Amino acid sequence: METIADLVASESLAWFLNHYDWSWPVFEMIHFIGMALLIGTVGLVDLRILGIIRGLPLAHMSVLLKIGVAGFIANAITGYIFVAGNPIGGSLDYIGNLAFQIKVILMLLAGLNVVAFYFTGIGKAAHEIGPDGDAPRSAKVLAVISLVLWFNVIFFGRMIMYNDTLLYALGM
Amino acid sequence: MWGYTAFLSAHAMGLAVAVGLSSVVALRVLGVASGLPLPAMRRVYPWIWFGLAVNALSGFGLFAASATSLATMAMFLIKMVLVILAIAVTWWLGRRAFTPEIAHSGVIPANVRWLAFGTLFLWFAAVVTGRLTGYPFMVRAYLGI
Repeated sequence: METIADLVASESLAWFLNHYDWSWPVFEMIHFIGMALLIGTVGLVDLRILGIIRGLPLAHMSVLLKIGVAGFIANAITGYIFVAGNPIGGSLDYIGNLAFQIKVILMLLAGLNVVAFYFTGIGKAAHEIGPDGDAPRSAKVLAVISLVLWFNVIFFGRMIMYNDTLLYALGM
Repeated sequence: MWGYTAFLSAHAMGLAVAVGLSSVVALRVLGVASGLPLPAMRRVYPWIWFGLAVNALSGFGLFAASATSLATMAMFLIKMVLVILAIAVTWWLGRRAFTPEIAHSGVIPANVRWLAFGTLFLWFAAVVTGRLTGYPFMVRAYLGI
C-alpha cells in the first residue's frame, strides 16, 4: 500500500491544497455535483430499462449518459486530487483506507458493467424498444447491477471518513 | 454509531437522486435530449419527491446530532432557505412544463425556461452551502459569518 501511496502522491497538489485551503471544499462541491449528475442520468436510464419509468425512448437518452460520464470524469479528477494531494494524512490515508479500497473496486466493477452493456449487444437491443417497450432481461440485470454498484459507491465514499466504524462492524 | 453514518449516507444518496433527477428534468426543459417527450418527464417527479423525503428524514437525524452548532450557524440557515426555494421552484417547474399547450406546440415559453434555470441554480447553491456547513471556521474566516 505504501508504494502505491508513494506513486500516487503529489507534493505540488498537497502544497496547493494547503496554501489555498478553500480549494478543498470547492473540489468537494464539484465532487457532489458530479455524483448528482451521474446518479440522475444513469439512474434515470436504469429506471427506464427496468420499466419502472416508461414513456422515454432509450435511443434518445445517450445525451444524458454523456452528461453522466462528464460527472464521472469530474469526480475521477477531483477524487484523484483528494488522494494525491491529501495535505493532512497524505495519500496513504486513502490508499490504506478499507472503505476507499472497496469504493474503487466497486467503481471498476461499474465500469465493467458499462462495457458489458455496450459491447455485448445488450445495449443495442435495449435501444430498439421504443418509449414504452420492455427491455430484454439481460439489460434489466445490468441495470440492477448498475444501481446497486453506484449506491454502494456513495455509501463507501461516505464511510471513508468513518472507516473505523466500518472496521469495527466487520470485526477488524 | 451506525445511526449517524447511516444518516450521512442516506443524505448523500437522497441528494444524488433529488438534485440529479431535478437537473435532468430542468435540462430537458432547456432543450437537452429533446428526443425525450416532455410530458413523459412528469413521471420522474415521484422519484424526486422520494429523494427529498429521504433527505428530510436523514436531515432531521443529522440536525438532531448537532443541533446546538447548526441552529446558530448562518451557513446552515442559508442552506435551508435555498433548499426550500429549490423545492418550491422544482415543484413550480413541474406544474408549468407539462401542460397540453406545451406538449402540442413543442415550444417552451421563456418563463418556464427561467424556472428550469432557477431549478438548476438553486440546487447548485444548496449543494454549495450544504458543503460549507462542514467548514464553519473557514466560512467565518473568509466570509465573516
